[in-house]
Amino acid sequence: MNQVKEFDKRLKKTEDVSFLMAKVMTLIFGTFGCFLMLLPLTGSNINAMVENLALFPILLLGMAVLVYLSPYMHMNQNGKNVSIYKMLRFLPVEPKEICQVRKEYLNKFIVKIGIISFTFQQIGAVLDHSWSVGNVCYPIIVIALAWGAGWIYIHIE
Amino acid sequence: MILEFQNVSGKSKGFCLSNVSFAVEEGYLVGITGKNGAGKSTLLRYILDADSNYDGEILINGMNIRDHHAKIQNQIGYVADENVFFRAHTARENAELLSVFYEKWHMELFLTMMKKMEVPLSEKIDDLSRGEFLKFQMAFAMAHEAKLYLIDEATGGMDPIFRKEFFRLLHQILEKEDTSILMVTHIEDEVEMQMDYAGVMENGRMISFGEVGIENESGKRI
Repeated sequence: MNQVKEFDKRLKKTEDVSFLMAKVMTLIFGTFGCFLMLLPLTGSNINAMVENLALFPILLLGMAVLVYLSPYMHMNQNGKNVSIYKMLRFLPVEPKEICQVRKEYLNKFIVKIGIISFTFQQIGAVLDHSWSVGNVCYPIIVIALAWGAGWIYIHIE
Repeated sequence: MILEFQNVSGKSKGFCLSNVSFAVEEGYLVGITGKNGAGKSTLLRYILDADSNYDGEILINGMNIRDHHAKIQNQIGYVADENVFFRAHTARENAELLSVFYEKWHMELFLTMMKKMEVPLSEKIDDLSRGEFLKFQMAFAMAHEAKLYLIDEATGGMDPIFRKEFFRLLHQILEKEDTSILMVTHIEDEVEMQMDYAGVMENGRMISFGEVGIENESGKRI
């Protein structure tokens, strides 16, 4: 596990541009996704709007997760997108270990955006005087789906 | 005994191996030869790739490679054209990135060998010549104290001077360290001149295996 983490540290140094790009894109998707969570799911006066926008946070936060993980999963090798798992397949590291470390990164990221999304949804619902159990369940479902997208990405590779 | 194939059979990408059994002992250079498509490289793939699907057992120092993939890869130095490295990165960057996975890594030795073999450290892997890429892989394998070198068709297309130099390096490795070398080649002269033991493969079967120059059970000279 530590070897994989050390490898990732060194990879970040040599692939600094890819990691920076991913960070910027993650920030864009994540920020939009989290701000949309300010709109309460069951808001009385903006119900119709919310219904239409309910899927957007899922898409945006799901994208944020995939973009966040991408430099740990693929790298550009002379114009070709190569899987890092494949690059490491002849080396003394178990694919399971690589997967586990990627899942750790995923979980940490999900906790961060999960807390923000959850808080934003509660604030939105309280300000709208429309708080209900739905406002607790909605961010949990959004985050669970975003986590699922990340988990599938890690495992499909 | 360092490497042992016990009745290994399997199919992969159109290649098929059936009941291959042989052993490679410490301190020897063993060659596997045969026509293209005979299954020579598949043997090496089975050792290297954790996802290989085969029947039978492959043991290294008594350990089943299926159960100890990472531990075993620590002892293997793979040298081949299709070996996987970060091709858009320099030789030095590759060494720095990938060395983290090895229990024993001697950066000093790697740098010394690269200098000795005149391979540029700051050149991208893609920009190295074929010979330089093979030398880089040899330096890489030596730096992590590989005990078993797997060399796949490395000498094909080499000029005679470099080939001679390459075999001199292999013999030096065998003299100094407790290593073995398994080399896959389709150049039969090479087997006769350089190898201690040799195996001949045909249609996925090991039709003959033994000491080079000695007659086998059927009276045929290997």
